[in-house]
Amino acid sequence: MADGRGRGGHENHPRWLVGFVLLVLFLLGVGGIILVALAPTPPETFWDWTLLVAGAVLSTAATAAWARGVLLRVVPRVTGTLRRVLAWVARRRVLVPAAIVVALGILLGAPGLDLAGQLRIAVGGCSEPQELRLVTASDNDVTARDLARRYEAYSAGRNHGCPVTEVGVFALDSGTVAAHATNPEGWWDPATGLVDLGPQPDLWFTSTSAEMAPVAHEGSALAEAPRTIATTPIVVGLPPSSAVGTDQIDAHRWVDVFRTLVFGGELVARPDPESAGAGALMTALLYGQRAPGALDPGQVEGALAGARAQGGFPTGSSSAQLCAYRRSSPSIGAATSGTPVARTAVIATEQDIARLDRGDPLGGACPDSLPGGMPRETRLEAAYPSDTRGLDFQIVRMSWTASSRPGVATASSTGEQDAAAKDFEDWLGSGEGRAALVAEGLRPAGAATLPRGGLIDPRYGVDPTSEFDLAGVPADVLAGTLEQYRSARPRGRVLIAMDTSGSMDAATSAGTRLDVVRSAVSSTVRLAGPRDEVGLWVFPGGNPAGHQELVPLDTATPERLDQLRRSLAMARAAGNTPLYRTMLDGLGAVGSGDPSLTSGAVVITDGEDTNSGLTPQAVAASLPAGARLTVVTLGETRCNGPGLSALTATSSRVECLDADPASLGAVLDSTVDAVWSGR
Amino acid sequence: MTNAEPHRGDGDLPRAVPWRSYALITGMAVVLVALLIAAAVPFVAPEAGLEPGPLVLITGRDDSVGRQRIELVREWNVIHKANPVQIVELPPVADAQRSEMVARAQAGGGVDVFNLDVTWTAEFAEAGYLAPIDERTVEAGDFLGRPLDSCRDADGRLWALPFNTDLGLLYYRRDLLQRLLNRPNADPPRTWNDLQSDVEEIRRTGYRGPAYVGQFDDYEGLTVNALELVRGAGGEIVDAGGAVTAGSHLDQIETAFDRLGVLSFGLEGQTEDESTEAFRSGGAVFMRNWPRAFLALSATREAGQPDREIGVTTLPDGSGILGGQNLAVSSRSERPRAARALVDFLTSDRSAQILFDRGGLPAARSVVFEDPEVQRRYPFAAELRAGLDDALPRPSLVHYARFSEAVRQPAREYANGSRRSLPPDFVARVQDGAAGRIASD
Repeated sequence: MADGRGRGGHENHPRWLVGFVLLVLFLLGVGGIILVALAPTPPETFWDWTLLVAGAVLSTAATAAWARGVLLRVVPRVTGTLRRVLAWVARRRVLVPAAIVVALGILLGAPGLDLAGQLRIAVGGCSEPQELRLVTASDNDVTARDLARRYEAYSAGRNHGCPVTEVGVFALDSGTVAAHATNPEGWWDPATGLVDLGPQPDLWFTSTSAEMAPVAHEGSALAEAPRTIATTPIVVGLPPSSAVGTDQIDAHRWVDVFRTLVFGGELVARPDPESAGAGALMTALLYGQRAPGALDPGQVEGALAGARAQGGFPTGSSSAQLCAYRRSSPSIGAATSGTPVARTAVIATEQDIARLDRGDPLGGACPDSLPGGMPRETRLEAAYPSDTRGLDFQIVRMSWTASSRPGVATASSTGEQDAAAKDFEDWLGSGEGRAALVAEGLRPAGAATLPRGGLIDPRYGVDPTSEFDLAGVPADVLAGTLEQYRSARPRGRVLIAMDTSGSMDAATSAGTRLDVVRSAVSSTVRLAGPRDEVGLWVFPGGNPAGHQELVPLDTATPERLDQLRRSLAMARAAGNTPLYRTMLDGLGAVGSGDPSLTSGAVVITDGEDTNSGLTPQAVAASLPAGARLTVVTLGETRCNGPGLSALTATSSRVECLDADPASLGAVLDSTVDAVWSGR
Repeated sequence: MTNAEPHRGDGDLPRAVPWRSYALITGMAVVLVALLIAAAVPFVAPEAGLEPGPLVLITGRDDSVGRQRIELVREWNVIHKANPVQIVELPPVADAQRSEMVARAQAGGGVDVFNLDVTWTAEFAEAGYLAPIDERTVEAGDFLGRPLDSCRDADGRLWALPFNTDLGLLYYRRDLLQRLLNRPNADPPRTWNDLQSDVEEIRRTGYRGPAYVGQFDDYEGLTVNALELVRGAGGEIVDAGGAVTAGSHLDQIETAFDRLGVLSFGLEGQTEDESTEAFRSGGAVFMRNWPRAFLALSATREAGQPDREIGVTTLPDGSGILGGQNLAVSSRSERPRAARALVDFLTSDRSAQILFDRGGLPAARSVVFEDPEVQRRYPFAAELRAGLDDALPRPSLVHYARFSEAVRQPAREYANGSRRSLPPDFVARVQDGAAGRIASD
């Protein structure tokens, strides 16, 4: 030991040097850890982990080296004290140990668990969340998706940023959901499996109780009785250019409000009563089902049809109409405030008006938000008739049992899925959930006052202090309203002529073009009212230069519609395209001279005329008075092609619309509904 | 009794037949019976080693031309009577497919084979929904390397086999390039810069149709379009190891998203089908789409309808990103050997040939590209084959869906013109998404 290193190699070095080295090591180590901790996310890269591990090793080593000397002095004192404390505790056998355990549990339990959770996620990442499937009508799609995202964020907030549940939202009409909820085979379509139905839902979310009314809790896939989670009143959205003020609407009944608007020369738009529960409810309010002095449905529909004819509002859901309004706004689209759309008072929900004004996504053709919201000078202002009602949003859990029938591959619901669905439901009723509903522009059920900071705010054209009857309109009243509506709306006559030339056999992703047309026509005839007329032709027919009549023009009874659908299946693609000849003949057939009918021919084609021997001008010249011709293109030919553009240039009563397999259904719906609705 | 034939009394013995004839007849009978049995076995008895009973295959809607996937399953059902396959066909929307598949996987049994999008394989493997595939039972050399890699996890373990692969392609109209850009040879652009210049020039001509169509709707298609553009700009968002590297490539990402805004200008948002229709109509000059669009575009049979002058090539700057589907056996399958046999059948050379040749879904097997019929039907087959070798897989992330959402949100805003610079927290959001976390607002 001549070199003096026998009791520690550093004894010959100055103490300050040892201390300095230890301090540097300690700072380097702690610094590395702090750098990682300050990063916005847990360590993920190799460099993060190097800093963390090396930092921990260095700081531990330095601390241990420094502490060694201290410990040598302190430990004997501490152990002596500890021994005395333990002896004292031992004399008090129960009370003190129990108190210590409880205190340690409180101090270390929750943070310890939290730390363990953080470590688990930092090392292994988020684990797979429980999958939850929610079905709703397309009109509620945006609201449901937003609520789902908020719930996922809430569940992630309880789990170190990792969502416990993932909610998939899928759109399907309520009638189909109701039919399958009572279907013995469960969530399965014998022809298409789940292609059209979508995922088997764990939750069903509707905007009205009437949509769930056909499904009884017992003997169905409903796991419980539906519950009302929120409401939103039906209002009149007044544009800034309206001569009618909110004071002329508030505190007045719907029937009087409608008269005031119509007699005051205002244009009024209402969602399609057939497209969603909201449209039927609004129609019931307009018809004044529960009020004295009810309006004649024919008078209401006539006024609305007149406004549509001037305003160009699309037939469809409330959000589709408001989307049209947004797109027509002067600073957004090409229209000016003088256009009919910009002058139309819109019957909509309070939620829709607020979403429009704030610039929220509206779905459909307006999937994106509008930064900054609607310009102030174009915002709608909600007015609340005194007898208004509201949509009563419902939610219900669904429970399925796998079918044992061969060829039906359904799945049973599990306890985990049900528990996750229940947690979502419970959240909707909790403080956070109610705040989320308000943020979406809904009024939580049972809320005496609305939480602040939501969408129901005067800045967005709505009045949070307004009050209305929370009860939904009974399902039988809505059904009666729909019957009245179908009888009251103007009569129309539609001849549908389908191109079945050889090119209609071309493949699309949804089958051949002919398959796509068959499907769209089969669906669109549902829009016919009981007094409307319909007919179906195909071209070419037996005469290669002419058409074949599959269903003659006559009243659209259920039997005739069934016959029409069966006839569609017989159509085969072959031959040429006698387009102009078919148009000419079709116009001759629909133009009967009956003034009580609005009539039109709708021709669906994928090609230019090949063998009619006629000119577009000859077709236009034969247009009967009051009749119109709409050409819907699919495939190679387009409206800007030479023949069709020449045709549309000759008459304002000839319209041409380009479609594709995805949009054909909507284009046809809009076209035939315009005729059947007398527009 | 007059009888032409000699009478044979009870005591007479037939003439002795040579033993060779007995042996020959017996041998022929044995062979005949053996052949009959061999032919009948598949119809009456389960195959050796396969558990008898029905199999459930869950898959997205069959978008192949002529529904070739369904046809292949029908063929299996004819041959394998002991293991009939029930298909659960889901909507074409990827979110809906994944949601139902995850829900059924979490519920336990009921599914034997999953047809997974390439981006879900890692997720399903990590969550324990899949049975691993023993590499020794796969002739890996027969598969194209990149598609097979999409079936592995980060540790290189194999969990699935490629059903078909996919690669974005650039479609263009020769006649319009000649007319609008005065390009006699109708050469397509080879870089994204050139493509963007062409698009802008076409718009300046006052041409009424869309100059470029792609997938700009709010779904996975947009993510793929965005990732291709990022790669084309020389950047990346996630590296091959799954680490988020966006922070080191912000300039390139910004360039790519800017370009997305230029290319999608005036389009509300499109899916594959909508862009195919926009291109088919004769209006669009360029289109980014999958190879199967070629068959859909070519299928016109009416006399007198000329074939359009469609050109197809790989995406500019070699920026292809791999798509496709992988078949995997469920870890909860009660018939794992039969399920694996189904996977082998559906991923065989022959199946791959049918899916590509008739259905338009590119084969993940190299031998199919050598087939003269395939080369005749797809004039761009050689280019596609080369492109598949150069393509990058989509990020192999357990939480791919959230990652995709994090990339898509700003991409969508660029596409609709509401954003002109990356959000400041872009990298953090992508990191959160890749880790499966939800960023707190």
